[in-house]
Formats: sequence, C-alpha cells, structure tokens
Amino acid sequence: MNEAATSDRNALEQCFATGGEQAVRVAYERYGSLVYSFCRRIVGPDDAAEVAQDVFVSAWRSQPTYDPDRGGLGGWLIAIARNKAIDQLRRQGRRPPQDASGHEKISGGRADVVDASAVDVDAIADRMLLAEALDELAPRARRVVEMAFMQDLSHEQIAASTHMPLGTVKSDIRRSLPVLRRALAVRQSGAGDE
Amino acid sequence: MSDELNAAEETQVQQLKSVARHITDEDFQRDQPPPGLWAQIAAAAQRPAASDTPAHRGVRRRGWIVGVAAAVVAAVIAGVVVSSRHDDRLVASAALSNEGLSPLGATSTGRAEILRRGASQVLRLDVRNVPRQPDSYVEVWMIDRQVKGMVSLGPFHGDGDYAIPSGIDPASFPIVDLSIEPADGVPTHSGVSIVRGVTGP
Repeated sequence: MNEAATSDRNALEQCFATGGEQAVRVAYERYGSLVYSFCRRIVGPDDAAEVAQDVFVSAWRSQPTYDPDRGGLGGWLIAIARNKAIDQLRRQGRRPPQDASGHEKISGGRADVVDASAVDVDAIADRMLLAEALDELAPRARRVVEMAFMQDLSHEQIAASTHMPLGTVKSDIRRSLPVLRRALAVRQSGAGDE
Repeated sequence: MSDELNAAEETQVQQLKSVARHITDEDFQRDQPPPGLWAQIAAAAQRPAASDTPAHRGVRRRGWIVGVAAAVVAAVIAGVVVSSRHDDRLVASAALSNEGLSPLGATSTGRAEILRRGASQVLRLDVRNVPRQPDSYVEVWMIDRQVKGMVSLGPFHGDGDYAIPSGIDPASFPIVDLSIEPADGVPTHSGVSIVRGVTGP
C-alpha cells in the first residue's frame, strides 16, 4: 500500500467535506485530470473543458453533500461528471461512445433493462476509477492485484510467479481491497447525483 | 489478522475483477485540463447560480421555450435599475402585451425602450399590472428572434432602466419578455411569460 498517497487522499476527502475554496482547489489539482479525461472520452475534446468546469462548479456548490464515509472523492466527482456528460450529449442529440469492453455491471444491475449507452458510460467511469485506485497502490501490491484481478491468476500462481510467500500475496490483496472498493463506492451507489 | 478472504471480501474480489479484466491502457491515460480552467471554475462558482454558462442551463421547465432551452445562450446579469439621464438616445422601442401568454399577466401591459447612454445601453421598462405570485419573482429577459438565445437582465424591480450587459447587441435580442420565475434556483426561463414585445426603431 502506498500509505502516503492514501493518507493524502483521506486528508483531502475530510477537508473537502468541510467546505471552502481551497479544498475545491486541492480537489481540482488532485482529480482535475481524471475528471477532464473522463469528460473528454465521453463528450469529446470540444466540450470536455466546458463539462469539466460544470462538474467542479457543481462540486463546489455541493461540497456539504459529499460524505467521505460513503466513498472516495474521485468517485463522487466522476458520478457528477457522468451525469453532466450524459446531459451534454442528450442536449446535443448525441449518443455516448460505444464501449467495446463487454464490461459487466459491478453492482449487479441487469444490463438489458438499463440504457445501453449509460452502461457504456458507467463502464468507462468504473474502469477509470479503478485505474486511479491501482495507481494509488504500492508497486508490489499493484503488481499482485493486477495479476489477480486483471490476469485472473490464483494466489498460488502469483506466489509462484513472483517468488513471494503465499501469505504476502494474500495480505497484499486483502489490504488493497478497501482502497479499490472505496474508489468505486460513491459512483456505484448513485450518489453524486444532483 | 488472517489473510484469508471472508465471503464478503470474496464477493468484492469478483465484482472488482469484472471491472478490472476490461481495463485498457486508455483507462490509465490522463489528459491535463486546459490552462485557465481553474480560473473559469472559480469565477463561475462565485457567481450566482443563475450565471452558469449557456450549455448548462436546465431543460426541465416546460412552456413556449421547450425545445430551444438546450440551445439557450444566456448571460444572466443581476438587474440594475439605472437612473434616467437627459442625454439618452432612443434606439428602439416596443409595446408590451400579454397576447398569447400566461393568463397570470392577463391585465399586464407596458412599454419597453432601448436607450443608448454614452457607451452603454439600457432597457427602460414601464409595465402596468405586474402580477405577484408567492414564492416567485418576475424576471426581465432579452431574447433573439429564433428564441434560442436569451439574456437575463435580472429580477424586475419596478419601472425604470435596466443595464444591458456590454457586448450584447439589443438588435440581436429584440424580444423583451417578462416572466414569472419560481424561486427554485433554476436559471432557465420558466416559460411563464406575462408580457412580451419586439423592439424596433
């Protein structure tokens, strides 16, 4: 675990909830590129800055509604960005980009009753948030998690491949779980909606 | 603490795997926001909520503006009643009537004048029988002929002069409109117009 990164993120989330311009500024410095990149993928380069601006203005005005106990600030911002981006596309009569990943909705929702376009946007949001969380992990833990989650290797296979004790592999995965889950928690709960 | 995962954690792992196995390099890529975006955010956030940029204005309201709200171009400027001066020059004027509009303004009539005052311009309003509704206020608008772009001059404070924002050409927004707006913080036109007129020379 990258303890320093996690500590900084926790401090920012607690600070953000108490309000103030400086907290929003720090949040922008921390998550501005994530939000902007997400917007760029969904609405395209021409509208990305405008939507990202709207996201942070909304976040600024909605600061008291962010609850760190419900999940990460990045997920909260992406939940707002998701709605803003879809609104923008609808206003323009455009469809969200098709997501070819075959993503399965993590929350267990039935894809066949969900707007397919919204699912595509949700899939991109989830993957970018998970990627953000992976970046927060310490190198060893990240390597183990990627082998377990992305390559679907067993703990034993990872231990054998990395020459790490099996207990260390399991420990790294277990300690990483809260970080990864927290990254996705707010967006998948539907919070962040205005 | 045991390193073995419990059932709940195993479920979390499976859920995370369903996302993780589709991650691509693109999901890690980050584009930097354009320079100046923070300044725009800070400026926008510290203006009244009604001053959000045009594309952000809501579409939930219904009425005559349905279908065009998405394209609304609006800069909402707090209404400023400006004192009259003798060097005003009449640019355009219009009679304001309730014809075809909300029955709430059935008896409302008035007159609008566009006046040039030095380098600036003002909208002079003289409106009779302005209805007052609980939890609402009357807002002054200038609207283009396509009814797609509009400029709010702010709440109606009574007869007098309302500053037209610099950069706004009244000829491009010739429709003067007063609407009843619920005090709900939604910046879009409510669709409940009480008087309207098209200014001209």
